Amino acid sequence: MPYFLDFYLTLHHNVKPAIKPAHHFIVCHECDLVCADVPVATGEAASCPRCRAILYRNGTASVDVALALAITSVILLLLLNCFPLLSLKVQQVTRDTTLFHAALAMWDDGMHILSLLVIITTMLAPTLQISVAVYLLYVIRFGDAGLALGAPLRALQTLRPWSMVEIFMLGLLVSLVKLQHMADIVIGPALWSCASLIFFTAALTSVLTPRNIWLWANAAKASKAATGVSHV
Amino acid sequence: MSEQEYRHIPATGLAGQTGASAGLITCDICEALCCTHDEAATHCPICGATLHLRHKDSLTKSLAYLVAATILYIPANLLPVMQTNTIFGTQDDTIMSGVLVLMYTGSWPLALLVFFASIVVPLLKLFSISLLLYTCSKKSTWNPLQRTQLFRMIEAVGRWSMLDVYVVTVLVALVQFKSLAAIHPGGGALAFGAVVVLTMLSAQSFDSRLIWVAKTHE
Ligand SMILES: [Zn+2]
Repeated sequence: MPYFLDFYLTLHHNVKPAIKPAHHFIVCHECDLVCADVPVATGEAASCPRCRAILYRNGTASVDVALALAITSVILLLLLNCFPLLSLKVQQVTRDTTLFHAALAMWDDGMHILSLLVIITTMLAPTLQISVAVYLLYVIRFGDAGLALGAPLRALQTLRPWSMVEIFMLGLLVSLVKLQHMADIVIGPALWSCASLIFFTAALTSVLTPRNIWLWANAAKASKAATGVSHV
Repeated sequence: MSEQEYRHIPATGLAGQTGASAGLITCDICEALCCTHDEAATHCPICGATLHLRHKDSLTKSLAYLVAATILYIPANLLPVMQTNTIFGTQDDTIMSGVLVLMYTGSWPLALLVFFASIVVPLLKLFSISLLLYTCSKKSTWNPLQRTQLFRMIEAVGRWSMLDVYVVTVLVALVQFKSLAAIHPGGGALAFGAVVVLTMLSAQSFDSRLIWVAKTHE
């Protein structure tokens, strides 16, 4: 896929252009086998014949669907962070907690590193992940798709394993069961937004593959060029 | 994965060769095919991502994280993850006793799930990564496909061990009723969180392409 190959080659002279796009190859990331990059039917995936890793998928999602998913995730993330997750009532005393206060309680109890770990995995990583996704999709949809998309894409790949909202949700359910004998529990609005956020981010992640991003970016560039020509 | 998802590769030209032998690498980020014979890192000409034909010192790094995780695994299981103070007294809970309490008082399916996430998964990860590191350092030809699938599985389930850390976090935040009942985190939770992060880093630094590097020229 030679996007701006010639220009960059002057900058990175130790990387030479490989093969003409006419005979496309893809090197498997998991086992290093050189595979042919053949077109697959819509909705299908191509996998490595040796290690069965999925090389690429021919999805049907459009950039608008992805943007809608990302914006919904932003709203759900705000709800998750602003409202209490659970409240507990023991003899006229009610105690509720938001996500941030839960992490803060750990900090106050002297577990600073653990508190930071919770903040990073349940607040920082998901927030960064969703904002980078919104930025990427916004740039492709409304902005200049020729902008550097490499860095945000790399950030997305790095952040992905560290965003653990779905595990936190399971942790909430386990805590619920553990507490049910102790006191009256009221489920807060943030718990529901947490549950729905999982589905939206999972959908977003499956749609936001590097291949889709470059396809959308190229399509946006092409349509822009086409309209530009027609105006001149 | 169903059979029809496979696309068999025509055996012409480069197909069938490995990237390392052909000097080819596909960028993770933009899928550009780059040509390099440099074993060390180069940069993708399209998106600037760092490319490695082989990750540098992958086995050593992975082993270092693994050793650290194995050492911390001991306090993670022996030290209490939380301490419950009630008017009836003080109770210390380790990872294992937390599972047992859940089994007796709560629901056993949930107990099974927690048992799996906090006992089975960390152990499985420690054993699997050791196995992978050992076989790859020997350049073994033993079941490369199964070993790749094992690696894929531990990468997918490894994060779920964080479950116990979150349970402790939520309980500590909610159960703060002065003398009536209060829960405090214990050192075990910190060690356990560290084990999860270290095993994740260990798996991430492992270069799965090494599984397929077989010993040549006997
Ligand atoms: Zn493969």
